[in-house]
Amino acid sequence: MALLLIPFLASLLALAFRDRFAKIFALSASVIQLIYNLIILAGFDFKANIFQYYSSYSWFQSLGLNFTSGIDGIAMVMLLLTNIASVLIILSSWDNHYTNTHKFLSLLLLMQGALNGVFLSMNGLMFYVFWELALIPIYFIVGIWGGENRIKITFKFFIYTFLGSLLMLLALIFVYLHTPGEHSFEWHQMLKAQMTTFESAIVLWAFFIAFAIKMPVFPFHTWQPDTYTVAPAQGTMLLSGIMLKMGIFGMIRWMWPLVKNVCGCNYNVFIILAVIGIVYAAVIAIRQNDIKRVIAWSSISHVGLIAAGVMTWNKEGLQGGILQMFNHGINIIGLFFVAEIIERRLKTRDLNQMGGLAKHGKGFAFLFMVIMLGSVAVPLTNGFTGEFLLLNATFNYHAVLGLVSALTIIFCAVYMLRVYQLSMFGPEQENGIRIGKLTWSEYITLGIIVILILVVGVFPNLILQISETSVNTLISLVGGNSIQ
Amino acid sequence: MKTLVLLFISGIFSLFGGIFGLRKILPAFAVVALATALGYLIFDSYYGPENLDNMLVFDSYSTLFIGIAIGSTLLISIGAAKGFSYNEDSLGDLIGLMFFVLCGVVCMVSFNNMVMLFLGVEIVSIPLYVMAGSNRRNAGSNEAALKYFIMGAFATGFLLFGMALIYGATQNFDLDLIRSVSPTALHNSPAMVNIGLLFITIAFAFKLGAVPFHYWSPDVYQGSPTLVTAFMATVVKTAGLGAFLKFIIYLTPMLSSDWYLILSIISAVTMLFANIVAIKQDDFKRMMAYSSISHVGYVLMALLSLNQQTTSVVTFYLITYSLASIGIFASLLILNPDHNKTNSFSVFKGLGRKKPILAFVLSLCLLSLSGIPPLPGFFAKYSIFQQAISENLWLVIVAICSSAISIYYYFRAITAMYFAHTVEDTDLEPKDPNYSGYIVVALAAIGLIILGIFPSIFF
Repeated sequence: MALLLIPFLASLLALAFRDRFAKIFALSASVIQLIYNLIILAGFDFKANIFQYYSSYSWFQSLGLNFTSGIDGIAMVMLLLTNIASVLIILSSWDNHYTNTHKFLSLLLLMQGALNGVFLSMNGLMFYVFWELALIPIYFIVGIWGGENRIKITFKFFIYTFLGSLLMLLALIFVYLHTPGEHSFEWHQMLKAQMTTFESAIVLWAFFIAFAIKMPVFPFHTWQPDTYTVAPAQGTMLLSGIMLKMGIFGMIRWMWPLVKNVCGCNYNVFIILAVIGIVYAAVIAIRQNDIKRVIAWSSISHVGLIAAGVMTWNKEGLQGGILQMFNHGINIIGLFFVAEIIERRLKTRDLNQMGGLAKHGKGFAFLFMVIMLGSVAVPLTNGFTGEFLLLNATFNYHAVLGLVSALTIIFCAVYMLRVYQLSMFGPEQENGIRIGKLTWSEYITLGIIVILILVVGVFPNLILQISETSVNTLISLVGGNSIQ
Repeated sequence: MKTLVLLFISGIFSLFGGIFGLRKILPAFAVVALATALGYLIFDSYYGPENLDNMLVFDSYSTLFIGIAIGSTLLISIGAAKGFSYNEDSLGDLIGLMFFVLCGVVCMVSFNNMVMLFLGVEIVSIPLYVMAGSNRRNAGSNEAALKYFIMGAFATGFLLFGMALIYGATQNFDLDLIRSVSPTALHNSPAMVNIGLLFITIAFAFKLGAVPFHYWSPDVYQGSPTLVTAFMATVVKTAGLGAFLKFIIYLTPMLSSDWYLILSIISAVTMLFANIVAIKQDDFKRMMAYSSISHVGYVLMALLSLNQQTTSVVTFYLITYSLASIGIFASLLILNPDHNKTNSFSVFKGLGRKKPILAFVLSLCLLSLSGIPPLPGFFAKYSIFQQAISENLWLVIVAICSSAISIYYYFRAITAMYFAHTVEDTDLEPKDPNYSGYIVVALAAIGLIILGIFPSIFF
């Protein structure tokens, strides 16, 4: 509960401060939240296969809306990601001079609260409420502080995702109406829903489209590159680092468990879509000249792999997916922050107008390199273990699909190295603008990210052990996927 | 009953007060009288239902709807002094007419005899024609009054004809007696019953502004003075839906499957058409007219699948809808006090910077109307979906699609408030700020927030 109260209260209080004090306040609030999360982690039993810190309060009885929260290993990883990332995001805004900083930070904290709510929810309707609540602050963040053309793009983004959410609501209500006895939105009750094959196929598709828009999976991705490019750096980090994980989390927690038992559907098509997305997005990323767009497309590609792995529904896939969600969150925040640092100094994101930045920014070049390698999934960085597990799962599921998705590693190396090469090496630009010294907030943010990349890279078990029991439970509950 | 008398006496008092130079105190008087009436209503309801010769029955059902209507009027009347400033001479008349409309509302939602329903509808409509045209110097207002009158009279004809046909089939005006007529007796004259019911439904669709009987409503909403529009959009809709729901509840055994099909088509078309057309509106009040049409569509969906919950679902919906609408219209009145200017979306430009709190509250109201959690508009819409989904899945899907469409135009106003950077710094601030308007907006917002966080206090 306090996981929700801290950010929501802080979001209100942040409005009382101005500029610098608002930043200090927001940062300390998010650090307190992270510490509280770590305390919860310390008291968390990795071996117990139940939902811990379970509590339930009545909110809107006649609708079946209860305030039920509980944490299992999977949610724990997501909460950790959310709260670590929030600290990083707020820290990264230290040197931005936005108008109305206090409102910006207030929205960030509101978003953090809503995201925590999404991962905590054990009640279908509460999940939906927080899911929507998370959409409001990001809409304003992109719309008010975004770049060119923001009005049109935020509209597209909002309507697209809102339609997806409504489909999810429809699916949730539909399952609710098929729960035995007194209808209930509680997760445990919804698992017992009785549906015919046809009905559950409808539910599955509604869920899939809702989550696919959020992630986004090909072909529901068209809102994403524009929105990522136009959003302010922190908005992009929120969207890519945390928010798209809501979609994958939704698949793991809600979509499969609710329909898998009853649905004999052919869901190969989902995995194929995800795999198409991997290759498609990677190829496009290679040809982009806007550094933010490269990262945006790379995100579609990476998330496609996570989605494919998770959808194979076996232990490697799930574990890899959860680990990679965490890693992708950290890496992509790092990458977008690197793009932001370059843009702050060069006032451009065009790769053709960069070059030779490494010469006068050795520290920056090094930090960028580690983050980039993490994204490419080089061994000993965090991306490696996750992608390996995911590819393994996909390969076991179907060899051809596995092979095609393995292309992602090659493509990723191509576009990432291209970005690095064009920006860091080569002749310097004549205008004489350099990276120069990083400010302390930039150093700390990138430093934390790099440390996380290396630590998780060397000890992936830190994350894997948290979710292992829950994944086993979930698979035994829903039934694993027999290898075809 | 006492509430009805109190409202009537207050109306007479306002009329004479206007003549005898008590104009200054009339808005305050209206607030006090309405608050008293509301208190009386609640107080009275503890003594159980009251039956007036089987003509009017005051039970918990009518108490709910009368309460919503009086509550909305109370909020509106707080802003009355400024809202009716375009025609200061007849302030007393306008406030008096407002009370008379409420008398009609009481008859409409507590009728037990179709004659009373008809009287109620007429008592509501006639003062409204006058109110719509009360801004005499404005061509739009005159047009609104005339259009409203002609269309309203037309609809009344339908209502009366329908009642006559049902009377012909059942030899009764009393709802209880009509209900007790055996189905076999009805079978002798199925056409009469069915056509009668159809005509009455059409009359209600006219009054509520459901597609395809909605053509008067955008013009009337746009032309009428803003406060009158708010009154029409909330109180009159509440009364119309209250009466229609009661009618359906009583006559369920007589309703054929064709009737359900027709009403569900009306509901679907209303939602889709109104939401799509609202996108193209450049006048804010016109857009709000279409928005209120679409909300009627959602409520009709609830009427199609009656069960124990229907009344509370509909009333909850009406409360959230009324609160949000009043908040929006009151903000519009603050921003555009001159009744002869058009209300384009540009009124809202840069509001987020100039008046952040008003902008915040206004967005809250708009978000609630569009049904975004955790605002009460979501819970209201959701409970309707939940009710309708088992019987009319396709209707719910239509409703969901049209909800998604509606996001576009509600967010257009929000976009104008926050995202528009090019603000021409013309001083929109009127000479004396509209404090009473701010109070209305604040009360509406507080109501919305409370209902959003603790929706269970209602159910």
